[in-house]
Amino acid sequence: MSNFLSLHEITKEYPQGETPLRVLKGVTLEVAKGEYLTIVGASGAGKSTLLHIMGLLDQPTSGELLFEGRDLGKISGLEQAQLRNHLFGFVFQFFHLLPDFNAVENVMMPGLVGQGLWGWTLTRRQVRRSAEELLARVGLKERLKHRPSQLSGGERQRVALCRALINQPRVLLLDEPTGNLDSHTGEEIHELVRTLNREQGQTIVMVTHNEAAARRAGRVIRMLDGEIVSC
Amino acid sequence: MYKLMVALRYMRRNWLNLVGVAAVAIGVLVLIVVLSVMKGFDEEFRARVRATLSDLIVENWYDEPFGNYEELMAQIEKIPHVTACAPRYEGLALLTLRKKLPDGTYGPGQQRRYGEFLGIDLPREVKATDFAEYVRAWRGRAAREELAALFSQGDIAIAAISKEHVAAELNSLRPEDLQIMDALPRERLTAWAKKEGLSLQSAFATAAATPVEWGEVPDSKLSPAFAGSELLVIGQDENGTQVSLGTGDQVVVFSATDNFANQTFRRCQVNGEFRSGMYDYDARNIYLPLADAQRFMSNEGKVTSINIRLDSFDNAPIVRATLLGILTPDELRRGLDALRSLGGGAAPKLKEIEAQLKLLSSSEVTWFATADYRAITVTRSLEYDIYGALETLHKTGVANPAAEEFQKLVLQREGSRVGRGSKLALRVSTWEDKRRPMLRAVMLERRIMGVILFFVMLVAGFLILSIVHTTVLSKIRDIGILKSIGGSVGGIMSIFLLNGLLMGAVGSALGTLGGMLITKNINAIQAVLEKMVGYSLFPQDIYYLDRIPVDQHPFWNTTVICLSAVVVSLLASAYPAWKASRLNAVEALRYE
Repeated sequence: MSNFLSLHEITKEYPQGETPLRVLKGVTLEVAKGEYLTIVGASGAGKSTLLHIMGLLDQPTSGELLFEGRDLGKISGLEQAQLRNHLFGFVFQFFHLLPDFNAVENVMMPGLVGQGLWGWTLTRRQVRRSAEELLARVGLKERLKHRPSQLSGGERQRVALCRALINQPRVLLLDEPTGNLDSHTGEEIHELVRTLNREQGQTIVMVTHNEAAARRAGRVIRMLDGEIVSC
Repeated sequence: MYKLMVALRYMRRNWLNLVGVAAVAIGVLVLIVVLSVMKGFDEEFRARVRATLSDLIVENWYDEPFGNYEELMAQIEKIPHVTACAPRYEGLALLTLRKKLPDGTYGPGQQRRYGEFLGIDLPREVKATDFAEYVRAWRGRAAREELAALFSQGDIAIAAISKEHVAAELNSLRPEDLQIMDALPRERLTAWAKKEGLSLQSAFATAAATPVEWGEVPDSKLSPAFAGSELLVIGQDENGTQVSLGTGDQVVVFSATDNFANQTFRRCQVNGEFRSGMYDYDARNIYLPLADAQRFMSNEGKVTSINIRLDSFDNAPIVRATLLGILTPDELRRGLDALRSLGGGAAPKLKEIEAQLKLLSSSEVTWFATADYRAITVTRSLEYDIYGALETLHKTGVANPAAEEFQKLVLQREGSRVGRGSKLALRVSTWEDKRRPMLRAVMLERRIMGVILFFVMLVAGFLILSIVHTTVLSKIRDIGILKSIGGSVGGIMSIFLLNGLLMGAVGSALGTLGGMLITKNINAIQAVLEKMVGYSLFPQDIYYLDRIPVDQHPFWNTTVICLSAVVVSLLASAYPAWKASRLNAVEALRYE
């Protein structure tokens, strides 16, 4: 058993009439530190649900989620929120940027959420600086003040990626990050993610049905009807 | 602090928040304006209810006239904080109004009324009470006009003296005004100044220091009097104009006693009117010289009350306590011992008396003793205990020697009838004590009004609830996003609580500002509105006020109003905020 992120016999059921809908049927999975793991499978296979559970966005019906030996199912809601803030970084298929805030503010947001009530001005400036650096690194230096509605899909996803990275998460979780992009921009995003993994040793778990992208990842697992069918 | 940032951004992006702010502002504004005007009216009303009552009033415990008051007043004047005191003889009377007929005679009397006569010592009265503020001497009208002309002619010296004199000597314009009006037609002043070899200035100052006059009454059987403005009205003539008694008309005062054989009357010549703005007083009170009232009631040398003016009403408890302090602890102990000695071997009823006397012997009751007086100064609640003790004593009957002795020794009920050389029980009350029921009614009225107006705030609260609710509904996806990047339940809740709180705070601030502006300029606003609608919104003849009164110190009222507005806003946003915080992150993210 690895000492990083591990899932043990995770199940997820949704109440639905007589027999509950079983989305996950006992998933056991190890994610090693610095690994680039891709989960592929048809839609409805439970990949996203698994990712949500992994990132503490959703609660499993049963099973254990361990991070460095610590059972994340047994901690308080507030602690879970804190872990979502600085342990995991999320990137979604539909970008999920806050429409009322511009690019740099969106990127800053997790940094601001993570900070306490005090030290407002000081850390805010630091957070802004690192947000600007991140955006510059993904080539959005000129688009800092643009709102999500003024950005293209690829740009939005890059902003979302920066947001996921601002708190230097231990695990980066990507839920079909290119599902809503054309193949060219999608490839750019994949390239960014690969670089992160390669150059900074960023642990990455990505859900996709882009087989081409999956093939270039470190490890690929395939899911079917709530179960892992091949590693 | 991202909560504040997000809350502010949401507010800026949704104009509905302005509606919420406006609702709170209007609520706060209405509450401030209405309560402030009501408080202004209350203060005005308090002054009217008080009318000519001074700060403290000393009366006979048994509400009968008492003598040797000069000595008592000398004692009282020595107490710190007492600035003046004035004796009065008050009583009920039947009044007949007699207007002078064209042939110079008086008819049988046009109107009969019941009322109250008040014998006052005018020079002392104007110092001890606000009497001068409420009277208008007709005889001095010409003099007043002349004086006004004098001022307008630019005789600054006289105006300046008057003001300085007033500020330095008496702290109030009124007694002097009255005096000048009554006594100083300009010719008389200049003639007199010439005769005395004084400058006009010093003549004025000297004249201003002479006592107020009642006015000249040629017939010594007549008393000069000031009568209430409503009392003087006798009806309307055929044109519908009001007919009132005026200069030279008479009011005959009949004593209202239970002794018909001794009923007396006194004719008064009306030399001026009294107008307090309280109908009850203006329709009943007639003021005569103290000596005339005493003579009329065959009670020379006696008064019914003494009005005491203090440097500040805040000192009333202290002066009361000082009155208590006049009695030494030793005297108190002696009195108590005398009372205790009554208990031994007396009738069983005495136990009860003793119990009540224990109440009397508490620190709240004591005896203020001079050579001729024994004053009982009690708080209001204990008055009943004393009456209870007396009642019980009466029931035990004269056959009980101990009870009889107690009566003689302590309360001196019989002895309070001056002339038997016994001591007198006095009661000291504040003017508020004497007008408690009316004052309480007003207080209650304002509170009820506040509660009713608070519903305006509640309406604003419901509006805030629905606005915050709408914001939450339109931001469900955002809530999911914020949760996914680590926003906690409390954090999400705070965003929307802040939304409500900010609406409440900004609304309160704007409402306070608006309310202050309106209350400060309410009379100008009234004038503009009157011009627009074309009739008087605030008729002076109904309210006796030349302007709308407002609360001069609105700090606490405003604070309470604003705080409650903020609390209501916070409570109103609590429910939608709670709902928002409970949203499931994954479902919220999927929400379209």
